[in-house]
Amino acid sequence: MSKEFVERWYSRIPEMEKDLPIILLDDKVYTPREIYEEVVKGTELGDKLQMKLEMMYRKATSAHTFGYEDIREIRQVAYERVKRIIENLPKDFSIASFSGRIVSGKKIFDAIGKKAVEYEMERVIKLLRGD
Amino acid sequence: MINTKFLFLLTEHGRYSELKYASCVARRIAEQIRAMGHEVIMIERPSPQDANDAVETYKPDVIWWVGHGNPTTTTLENVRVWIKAPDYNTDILSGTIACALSCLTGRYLGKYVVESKGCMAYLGYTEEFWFPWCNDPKYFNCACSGENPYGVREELWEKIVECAHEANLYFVLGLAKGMNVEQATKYSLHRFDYWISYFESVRPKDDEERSVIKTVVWILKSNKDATVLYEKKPAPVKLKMAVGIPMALVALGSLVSYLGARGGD
Repeated sequence: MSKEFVERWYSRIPEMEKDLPIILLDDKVYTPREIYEEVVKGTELGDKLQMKLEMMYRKATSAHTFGYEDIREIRQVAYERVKRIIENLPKDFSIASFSGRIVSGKKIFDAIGKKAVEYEMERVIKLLRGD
Repeated sequence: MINTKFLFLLTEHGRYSELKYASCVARRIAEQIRAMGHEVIMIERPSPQDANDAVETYKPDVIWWVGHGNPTTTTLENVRVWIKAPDYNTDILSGTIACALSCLTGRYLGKYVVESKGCMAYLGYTEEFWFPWCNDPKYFNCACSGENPYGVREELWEKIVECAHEANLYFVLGLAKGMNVEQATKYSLHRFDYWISYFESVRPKDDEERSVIKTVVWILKSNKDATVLYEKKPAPVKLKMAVGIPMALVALGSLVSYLGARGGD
C-alpha cells in the first residue's frame, strides 16, 4: 500500500475523532492526525505507523481476523480515548442519574467508564475500516 | 390512539433541582401532544397524593413521570415514595401505559406492575439513566439551556441538555402519533440513535467541547441499552356466544353435507 492509502483513510475520519487515539505502537497511542502528519513528513515513525495502520485496516475489513492480542490492543486504545476525554471535560461538568447519583471529573469513569470503553472499542474498529 | 388522555407528573426537586431537566422537555412534548388533539394534564411538582388524585380524577391512558428510583421503588417531588413493590400504591398504574423516567425500575417494579397489578405496559430502565447536569449550587438554571456555563456553543448546548430526556419522551410522543407500545419503544430507541449519529458528526471547536459531546454520546448509548418494555399480552381470543353459535351451525352444516356426500355409509 502507499501514502495515498493513508491520505484517503485520513480524509474519511470525522473531525470529532482526528485527535483521539486510534492505534497502539510500541506501547504508545497515536491519533489519526499524528499518523497522517508523520506519514506525510515521511519519517521513520511514519513508516512504522503506516505499516501498523495497514495491518489493522486489513484485519478490520475482513471478518473474524482480530486475534486476542489485537482485541487487547483495541481495548487499551479505547481506554486511552476515554481517559483523555474525561481529563478534558470542563471543570464542574457533571452527570447525574435518576438514582440520585451526581458525579464529575474522574468519577465519571467509575459511573459509565465500562460502557464508554465498549462504545469506543466499536468506534475504533469502525474508524480503522474508514467507516 | 384517538383522544387519548396523557398525564405528565412534572417534578423538579430531587436532591437539588435535577428533575426539572427532564420536566422542562416534557412540557414541550406535552404541548406538541395537545396540539395533536389529545387531552393533556400536567401536574407541577406533584406529591404522591397529588399524583394519586390526578390519576383518580382524570383516569389517564398514559402516565409519564420523572423521579428517582431503584428496582422496587419510584419517587416524585422531594424524593417522596410514590409506588413501591410489592404493595405500596402498586395498583395506581392499573389500566394505564406507564413511561417511567426513573432509574432501575425496569429491573423489577415495571415487570411486577404489568404482570400482577393490571398496568397495560411499562417502559423503564434496567440501569441508571444518566444526563448532563450543571453543578447546581453554582448554576441552578441549566435545564433546557437556561444557562450554559461550560463554553459549549449555544446551538449545541441546548441539544446536549435535552437529548437524553427527549429520547425517553419519544415513547409518549409515539403513542400520541398512534403507535402501539412496541412501535413507540422503537421510536424512542431510534431517537437515541439519531442523537448519537448527530453528535458523532459534529466538528468540535476545542478539546473541552469534544469531551462534553463524547460524554453525552456514552450517556445516550448507556440509556438506550438500558431501555426495557413490559407489556401485558392480550389473552387468547375466545369466541363470544354471538359469534360462537353461527360458527357451530356452519360446522354442523359441513358435517351434514359431508355425510350426505358419502351417501350415509
